[in-house]
Amino acid sequence: MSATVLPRQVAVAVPRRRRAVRAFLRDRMAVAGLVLLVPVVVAALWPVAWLPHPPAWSDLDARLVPPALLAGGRWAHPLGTDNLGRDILSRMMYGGRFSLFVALSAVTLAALIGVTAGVVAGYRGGLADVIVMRLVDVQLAFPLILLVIAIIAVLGTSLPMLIVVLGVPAWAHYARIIRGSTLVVVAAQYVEAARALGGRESRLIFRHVLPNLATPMVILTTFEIARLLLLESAVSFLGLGIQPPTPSWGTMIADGRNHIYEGWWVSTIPGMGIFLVVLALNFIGDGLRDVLDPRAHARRAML
Amino acid sequence: MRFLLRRFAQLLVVLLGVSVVVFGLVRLTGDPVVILLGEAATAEAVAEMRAELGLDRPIYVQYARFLGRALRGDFGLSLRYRQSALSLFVERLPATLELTAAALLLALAIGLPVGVVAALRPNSGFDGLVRGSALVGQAIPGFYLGLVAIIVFGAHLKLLPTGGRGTLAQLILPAATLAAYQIAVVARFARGAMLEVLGEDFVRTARAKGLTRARVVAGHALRNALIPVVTIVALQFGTLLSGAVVTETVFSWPGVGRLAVQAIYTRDFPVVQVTVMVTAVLFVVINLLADVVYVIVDPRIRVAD
Repeated sequence: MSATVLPRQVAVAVPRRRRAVRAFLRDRMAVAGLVLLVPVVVAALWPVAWLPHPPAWSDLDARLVPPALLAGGRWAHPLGTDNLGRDILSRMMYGGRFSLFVALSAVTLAALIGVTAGVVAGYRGGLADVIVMRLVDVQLAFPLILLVIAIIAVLGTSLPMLIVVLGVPAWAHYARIIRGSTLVVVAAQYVEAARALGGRESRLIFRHVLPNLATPMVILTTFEIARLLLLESAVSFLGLGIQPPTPSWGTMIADGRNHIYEGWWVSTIPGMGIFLVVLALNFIGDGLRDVLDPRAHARRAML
Repeated sequence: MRFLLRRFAQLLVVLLGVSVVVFGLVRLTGDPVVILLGEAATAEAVAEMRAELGLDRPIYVQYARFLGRALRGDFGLSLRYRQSALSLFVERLPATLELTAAALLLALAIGLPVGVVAALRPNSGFDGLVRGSALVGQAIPGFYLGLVAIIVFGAHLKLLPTGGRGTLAQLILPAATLAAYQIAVVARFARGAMLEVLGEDFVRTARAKGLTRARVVAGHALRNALIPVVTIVALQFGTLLSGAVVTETVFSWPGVGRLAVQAIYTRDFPVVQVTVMVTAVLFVVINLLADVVYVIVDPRIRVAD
């Protein structure tokens, strides 16, 4: 049975995937997003030993040096230094890995919980559906940042704690979207056919339902990473996220707050990092949506 | 009507869920007896205090007591101000409402016309500008925008005050900061809703009748496009409140957001609970109201239900 189905699926899937990649690369915004994102990711993963300066090293003779392109700037510190004479470029490159790591881990956690809940709700329906959807409502009723900082204030902050506190509440977005997509998939004829043929439930879910949820998942994940990056930076800005001396973009902005008169660049430059990554992710998410979900394409032409 | 009743029942369920989470948050704060008596208290004093506070009872009894008190607005005394936590919250609420209302007004005043005009000329230069700015507006962290506004308008141009509340000038920067994201959201949705309506049959009919473009847009299209926009605006209330937490901190705006952040720093848990609980309740109730308005302005929903 599966031996006859498999080759045909593969035969269809390859050209479609290639076509999707090509369509994605034709989308100017999506390519702009990639062009923005790739160097940032490379910079964030750059080995510590190869950074221009050690991120925690203070050059006390070079405090609050402006970026190189401005009057008084030096090329030894392309993006300038902070009030302790630490190189901003090195700190941003080093801090980026923490921001990205927290956001990616949190999104993974959110997807695990949310997809499970969403598939159960959509596939089972009935009471399971009602319970999951009411829990989603409860979750979405909280002003997220208040809930996050309240929990952190109670339980203390650490990298794993940050991941859990940012990731767990984000399950609700996944559950809601995946539930909707599951309903559509389950209603499709091929699922009905598989069920009529007496397919086991686990096989039905893993073989027919889950693969068809990949598209909404990929699109949602792109936007969720962006959202959680913003949230992480806000929490770190409030002093409850990644703790000094470890730099994160949010903590760097907070550090620069007290020096806006003498050195405006100390907090504005790390903020540009967050802004560009989030913008890039939004561009890519839009592009993916156009390519992977043709129905959404028609809708987005309107949005 | 049945639709609204069902929504109301859902609201009660959600509020119960919210209360469970807030109660859980209370329990997570650790043993209040230790906080009240200190680490050096004798075992008897601790046991006595526990009995007095009902902490020796089963957890569901404690929850029922918590819920009963919360319904009467009793969240305990602020540990820092020695004042009812709820009254502290209520004192600060007008400042937050002022800020969020100003931001919402700005978002509608700018986002709506910009979105509608963009929809009238899709794919024009103006349209591209609107879509691009909307993406940018949604990607800037609120606290960062606030900081940049302080640096530019406060520190360097010295045009506007950067903190406190009282004068209209003090409202401008925080309100604009908070509004930036909402302007982007409203513009995007207004554009989308308008485009969708412009493609509908009744708009084509109106045009075919020979009505002027202005009358078709104002009389037929705009009225129908506003419905989804109203809903989106109401749903943005939660985002606005979250944004207010950060904006108020950046601009030293004396609202509930800043109150909550300060309470968290000083471990003033009753105040934290009351802010989390009441904002969640406000959010849920406003969503219900949005649904009610939606049903009133769009009779089709009643039929569909």
